[in-house]
Amino acid sequence: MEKEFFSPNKKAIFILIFIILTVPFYESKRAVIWETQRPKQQNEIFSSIILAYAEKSEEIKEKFGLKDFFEKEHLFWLKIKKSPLIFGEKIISEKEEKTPEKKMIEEKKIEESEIKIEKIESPYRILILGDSFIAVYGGVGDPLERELLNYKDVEVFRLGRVSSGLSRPDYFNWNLTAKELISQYKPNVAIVMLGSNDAQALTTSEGKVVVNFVKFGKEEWIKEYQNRVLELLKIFKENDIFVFWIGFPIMRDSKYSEKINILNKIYQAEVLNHKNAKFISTWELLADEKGNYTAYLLDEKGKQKLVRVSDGIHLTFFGGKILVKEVVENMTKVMQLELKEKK
Amino acid sequence: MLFPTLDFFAFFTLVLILNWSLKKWSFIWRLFLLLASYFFYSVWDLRFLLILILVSLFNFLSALSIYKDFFGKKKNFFIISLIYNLSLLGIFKYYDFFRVSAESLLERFGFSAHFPLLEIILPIGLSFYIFKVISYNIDVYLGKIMPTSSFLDFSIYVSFFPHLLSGPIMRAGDFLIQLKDGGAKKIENLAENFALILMGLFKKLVISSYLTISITDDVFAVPENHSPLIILLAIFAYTLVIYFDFSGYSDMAIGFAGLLGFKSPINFDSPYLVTNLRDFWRRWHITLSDWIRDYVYIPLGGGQKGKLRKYFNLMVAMILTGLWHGAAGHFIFWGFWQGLGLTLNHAFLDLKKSSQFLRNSWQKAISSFLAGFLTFNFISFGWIFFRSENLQTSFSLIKSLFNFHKIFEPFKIYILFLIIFGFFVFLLERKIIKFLINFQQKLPFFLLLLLFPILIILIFKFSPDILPSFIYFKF
Repeated sequence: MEKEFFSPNKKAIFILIFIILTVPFYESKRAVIWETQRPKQQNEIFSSIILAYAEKSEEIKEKFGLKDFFEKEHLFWLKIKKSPLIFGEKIISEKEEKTPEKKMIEEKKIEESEIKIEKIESPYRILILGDSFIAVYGGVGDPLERELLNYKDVEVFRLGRVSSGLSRPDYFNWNLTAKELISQYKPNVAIVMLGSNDAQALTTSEGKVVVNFVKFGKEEWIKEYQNRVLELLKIFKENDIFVFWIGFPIMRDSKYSEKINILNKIYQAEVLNHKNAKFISTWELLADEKGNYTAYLLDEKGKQKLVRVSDGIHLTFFGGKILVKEVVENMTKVMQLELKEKK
Repeated sequence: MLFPTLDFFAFFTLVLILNWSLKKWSFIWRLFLLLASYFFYSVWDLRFLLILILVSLFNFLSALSIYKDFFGKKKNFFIISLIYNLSLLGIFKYYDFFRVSAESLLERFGFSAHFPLLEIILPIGLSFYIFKVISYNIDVYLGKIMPTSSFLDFSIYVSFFPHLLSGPIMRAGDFLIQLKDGGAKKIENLAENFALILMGLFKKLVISSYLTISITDDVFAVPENHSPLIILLAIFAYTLVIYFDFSGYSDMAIGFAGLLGFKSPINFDSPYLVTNLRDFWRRWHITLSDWIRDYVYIPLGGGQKGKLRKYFNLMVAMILTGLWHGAAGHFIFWGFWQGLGLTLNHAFLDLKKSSQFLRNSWQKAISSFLAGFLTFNFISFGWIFFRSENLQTSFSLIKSLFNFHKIFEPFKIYILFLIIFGFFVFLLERKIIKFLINFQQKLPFFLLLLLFPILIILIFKFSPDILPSFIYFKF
């Protein structure tokens, strides 16, 4: 039999090696995003190799002046992907906004009781924004939307983006998106639940890492994060939109829970300084009597029901309903929600 | 490690190189395959690996005991193994469902009972590999196959990584033989395997992902907020999503196994191009429906014990298929829906045998078109129950589907294009794969070397930033 010069085995191996070398090189920016999005795995040998390779290839691109080419190419794909003809998303202006300068905006602290909240006039156009908790998978967004539809003069628009937050505007820019959505839907009420992925290094909207903002919980980090929350709140304020900011419930992993607690406090403090906004704490809602994490809670019939899914972070349908009840209760304080008559 | 990620490609390249270079030493090669599979699985969670090893060990021993007929108690060993496997599945998959149902049942009779509350994580792929080992035990019990005397081989069968997470559910007889004497000597159908991997990537990363994030996720979450037209589109979109998602995964699994020199059974065979539901179930998730046919439907008596018994058996088989996907009312209802359809289908065929009323060819053409149309819509309607979070949502979706007060809703026209595009890809799938194969055979090697990365980069470029996870990973 004739011996082939390249046996199929060698061919396959060559092709795969070539794919491994070229695809991460080409897609290095995205490879880094893919990696940081994913929850930490125990075994990260391959991920770290790929990541190191991707970072190296970014350097190589810069060295050989290929950066321009890749950026142009990136824009090209973005245009195709987001053109209304093909995938319908509006192109969010590529003139990316600079991350706000690092300065604390001093506002007079006001006690909660002092805030005079004006009643919001109906009809209500409600915008729900957030990360995985609001997206289909996390357990709050869809029961909330369904509940609100039971009321008169209410229209609801919801956008949840998995893995998004305020830490990585290079991945998903909520400020730009919020502006876009406001101009599109003209809401007068917004419900925000954002930040479960934010306990990480902050980057600027161009994806640059600033040394001071790397370590979560450090003073600079907190200041910068406060600025970002404030920036988002300002967008709503400028458009006369009342904001309900939903805090996060207690989490199973104690370290993660600690981080979420810090974030909750930041949101609460910023919202308190803000007229026409309300922070809804959910921390205790899903905790047991001792204030610890629990996966089960009693329903109204006195039965133990699962409230958290197996990751110890997101909520089951029943868990979501508990939060929704609290949110709606808070909303009725400033809004006149009347149930629709049943046909 | 998911298939469409760079770390999987890196892992796989390494495995591929070692796989072909270690073949000379059969034992080391097999040991390597096992360790690679265990590594692959432990990346998800180390604790899952322990369960996998325990299941392998238990079933290896039980099958040997059944075969050797220890103490003349073959049947007892068989029953023990069945109970062990089913209760593992029960604990991990159905515990909370049973707890709630049992508590409310007891309450109805005036007892108040509380079962322990457990936070159980379903080990990924459990339903698939438990079904593998059950079939192995049954086949050994019935004398269809001889159990392997090598624990190593059996462990590879249970944990073979391309098939581990979402099938295809391969039978031991077909797999173990491929481990003999160092297995395949070279990759056969290299071009086909590459074509399958590319096609699978495209189906999952591009079509299924965009349809999921642009329409199905939103509509199925809050159907009340949408108009009948959009809901109808979402139902058809999901019909495509579930096909592309799962068949895309299966294609990749078959392709990767093929590159390692293993032949796998096909899992999908253009399932929507059918004129009746029986045909659909012969072409949809073939390895699961074959499993249910061989180990549930036929042991129940199949179609041999009279018509009514046949309909009953069909119903049981389909409801079990539904239950396999998860312990929830909506999956069971989906199984019931399919069982109902199959029963009607069989009943109609039973009637038709006596009277052939269609004569000429155009009558036949029209009738097969109508039958195809009806079947497709029946299947699509069934997916409503499959996809919904719970039965309540399914019913409110159906209610909203007929809520003609809200006819108009602005929607992005590209969704329509995307669905039409999806249908075209579905219709032309075979041709595209054939074209890819021919193309590879004509091109010189160095061009292939360039072409593949470009195609993969293109697929990645067109995929959304966040990939929805594979639907069948939940099961």
